[in-house]
Amino acid sequence: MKGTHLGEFEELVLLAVCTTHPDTYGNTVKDEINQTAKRNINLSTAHGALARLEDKGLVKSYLGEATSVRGGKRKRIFEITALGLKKLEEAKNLRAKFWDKIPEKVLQTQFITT
Amino acid sequence: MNELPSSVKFLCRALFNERVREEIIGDLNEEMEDFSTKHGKFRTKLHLLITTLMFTRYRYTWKNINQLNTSTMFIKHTLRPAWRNLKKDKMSAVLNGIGLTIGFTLSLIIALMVIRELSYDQWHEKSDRIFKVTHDERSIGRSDRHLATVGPPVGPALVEAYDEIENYMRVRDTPTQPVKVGNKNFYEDGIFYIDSTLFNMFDYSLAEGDERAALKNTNSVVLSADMAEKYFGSSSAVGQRIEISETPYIVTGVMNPSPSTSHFTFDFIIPFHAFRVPFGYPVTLNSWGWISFHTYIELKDPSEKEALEEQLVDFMKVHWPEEQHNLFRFVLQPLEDIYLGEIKNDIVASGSWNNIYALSITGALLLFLIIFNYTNLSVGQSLTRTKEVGVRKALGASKRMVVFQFAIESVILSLLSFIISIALILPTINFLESYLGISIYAMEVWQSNQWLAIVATILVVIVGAMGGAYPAFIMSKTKAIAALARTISGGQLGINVRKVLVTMQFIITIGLLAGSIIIYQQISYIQDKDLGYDKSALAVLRVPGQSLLQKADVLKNQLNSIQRVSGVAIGGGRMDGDNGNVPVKTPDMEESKPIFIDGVDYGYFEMLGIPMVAGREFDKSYPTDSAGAVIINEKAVRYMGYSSPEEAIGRQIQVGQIRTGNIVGVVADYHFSSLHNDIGPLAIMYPRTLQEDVYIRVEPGNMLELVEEIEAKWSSIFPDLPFDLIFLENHLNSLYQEDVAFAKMFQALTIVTLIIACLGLYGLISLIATQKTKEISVRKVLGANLKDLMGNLFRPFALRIVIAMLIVSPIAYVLLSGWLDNYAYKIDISWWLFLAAGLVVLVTALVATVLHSMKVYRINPARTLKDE
Repeated sequence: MKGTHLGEFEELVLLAVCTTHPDTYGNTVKDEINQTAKRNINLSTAHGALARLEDKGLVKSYLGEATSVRGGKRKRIFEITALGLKKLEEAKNLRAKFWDKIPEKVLQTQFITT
Repeated sequence: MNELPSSVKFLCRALFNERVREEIIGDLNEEMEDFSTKHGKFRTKLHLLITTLMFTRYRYTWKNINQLNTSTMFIKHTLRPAWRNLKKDKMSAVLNGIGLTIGFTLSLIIALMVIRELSYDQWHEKSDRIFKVTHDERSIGRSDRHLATVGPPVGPALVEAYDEIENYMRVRDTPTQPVKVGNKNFYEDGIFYIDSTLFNMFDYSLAEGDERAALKNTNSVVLSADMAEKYFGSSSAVGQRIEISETPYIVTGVMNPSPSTSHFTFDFIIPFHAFRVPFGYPVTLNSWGWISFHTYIELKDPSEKEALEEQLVDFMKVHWPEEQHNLFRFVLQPLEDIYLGEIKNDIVASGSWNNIYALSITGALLLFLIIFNYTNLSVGQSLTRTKEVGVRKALGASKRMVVFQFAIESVILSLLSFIISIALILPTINFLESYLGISIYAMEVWQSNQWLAIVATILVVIVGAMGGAYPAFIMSKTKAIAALARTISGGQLGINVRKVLVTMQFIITIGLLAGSIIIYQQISYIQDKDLGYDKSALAVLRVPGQSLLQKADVLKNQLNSIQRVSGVAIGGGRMDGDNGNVPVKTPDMEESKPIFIDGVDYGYFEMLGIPMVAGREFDKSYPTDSAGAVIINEKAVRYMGYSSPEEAIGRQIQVGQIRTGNIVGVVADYHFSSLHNDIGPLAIMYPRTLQEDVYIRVEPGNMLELVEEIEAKWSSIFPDLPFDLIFLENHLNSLYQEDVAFAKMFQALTIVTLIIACLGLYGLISLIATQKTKEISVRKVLGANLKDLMGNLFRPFALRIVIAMLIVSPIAYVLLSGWLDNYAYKIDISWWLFLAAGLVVLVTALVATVLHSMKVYRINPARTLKDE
């Protein structure tokens, strides 16, 4: 169902919103994802994802204070909402459920081959 | 960098709404600081620009359409209705789109082909400074010869004599020669002796080897990339040994592939100083009269060409005996003009202005046709939009705005078609290449002519604007009140212009149709023409003269022993005009004249089915035939001044340095060269050195088996020679390959044109029928029958078709006669041809009329007239 499902990339962005707190805005989210997930996303991609998450009500935002850096422009600071946190947990639990159900044997073979 | 580039700032202001602009600019600022620590200034700027543009992917960054300023209102009030209108009338948008797409695709391909033809040899850096020295006898008015070659000492002497000449290069061509690599044998063309200045004057370069040293030693040879690949695959060719005509050479270089637009191509280059005068030639490399060497010179300044040409008269006088001073002049031919120049020479590729004209004219006509069609249909369509125009005008739209609205719609459609045609162009080219059997080299042309993209786009916009402009002007004249009150009936608008356009369309269609019929007739004429000998079931086996000298009789006996071989004879060529040309003299002639030569064996004419007009052919029982007899053809009888074939028999004749003897026979004229040329005077002699092709008459059946059988005999006699057997008919067809490709191209274009014309005609008639619905209903109520109604619709078309026929016939006649002049043997253009083409168009129009009038006739008048 459109609007409630959390995509893989969205999940990453949502996680980055949490880890960068309280300094959460376009650039930091982009850097966090690029560093931690070893990806190479564009600034605009991060922005787009954040805007979409806000549309879905998973994050909220406000304009920060103007400073002398970045040309005196204000940042849009993002914060995760209760709904967002719930979605994240759901996603994590879902994964955990699957992990629990993996037979021991599969995990072993995995170790042998790697 | 501590401030955003102004372009980025501008984009942000132009693209993003106020809600997000500040944060995006701020983030970009930070991005810039970050990025510029790792990358250069330019990379940073580029990255920022791209990132900014990428933001426009997201709708939330867009400006609200209601807040747009006047320049962007354009989108709301012009582009959007334009799009809606296209979507509303899908059928005609698709029809127009198909027409435009086909037209653009083919026009682009034609443009590529024409540009390529026009750009021969221009890829050399010094192309404007290089000239070919030619031997011109026409200026003196004595003969119509203009030869591409001069004597071997001309080049060096010129450089010595004139400071303004920087360099010279001579090219000596050679016949097909056997090449031995390792223990494999091949026959190869494209073996040339060339001066080492090749690499200084021209932009040819070596992929392997040293350009300065590659042509130093007499035993070195430089290979083309293709040959190196063919012989040595991926391993290095330099240093390898190959044998050409049993002379060993060391490969010293491999050429880089060069553009295909070269007037001559070579596969093997042997240094010019390795060239030895062939045995028996009465000349040396100092013979000024040995006019067989292609000689190029490089001037310091191309503007000196004219002055130099005048000085060359004196130069010639220094080196030639006085009695020959008025025989010819040296003419400098610019390198870039050689390909399309009038001198035809075997080793030089040549194009024809005729084909270029024909292609460009058809391309232009096609484009015009599409514009006419498009205009016609869009005029009709626009009539349904009087109401929209009325509303626009009532709301204050100026004339200009209405015109603009219509033009923009039309431009959008034509740009869309253009995009589709760009996608279609490569598949179309692939298809054409396999269908026509030619190479179009689209990518190569494209790479050096990228300006074409801009020209094409401009042209597309113009075509679109023109298609839309005319209806736009009509509509803009409409009075708002009249349009809204529907007191204008569509039919009255733009009638005259439409009449002219439709007539033009008929002119183009009839002209192209007649043209393609003529071209088809001519091509089948030359393919089916009686050549004066029986060309069916003839296989031709190539044997080097030297080998034939020793083993001709063995070979003949062996071949004759094959059951399905019914005749064997030896001749000197493959009927493709590759004959030599030497002076001929008889005691009765005042001075010698050039004559074509051929060498044949006993019984050759009987085997080929060519009758003797007088005398006899060479016969084993006359021992002198092999050393002192000459046969001439009928053309040569008159040429040498005899009044009848019988009179020529027994006369003394001297043919070049080859033969002095008596004429023993006169053979009926047969075509020993392609039908582009008239049959020339021909002297036929016996010497084995002139013979190199064994003609084998075979009986039908499994040809593959037969060829294997012949090959088995061949390798038992000549184990070291390559086996080169062709069927004469295939070979003769290959002489007309270009003509056939041209004819097919023209036919394809004609078919496309016809389809477009039919679409247009169909659309137009349907439009008129719809507009006349009321009229037809009234007539029907008053008692008109179907026949009358059809006549009413059809009469104006019939009239225009007749007018078009009258206009186009003389024009097409002149153009087609010009094309036919390419051939020495050609068909007559008959008057009924244009009538036939006109009839085809007439019938098409009739069919369309019948279909539509039936449709309209069936409508119940009560329905269409209920408003009145």
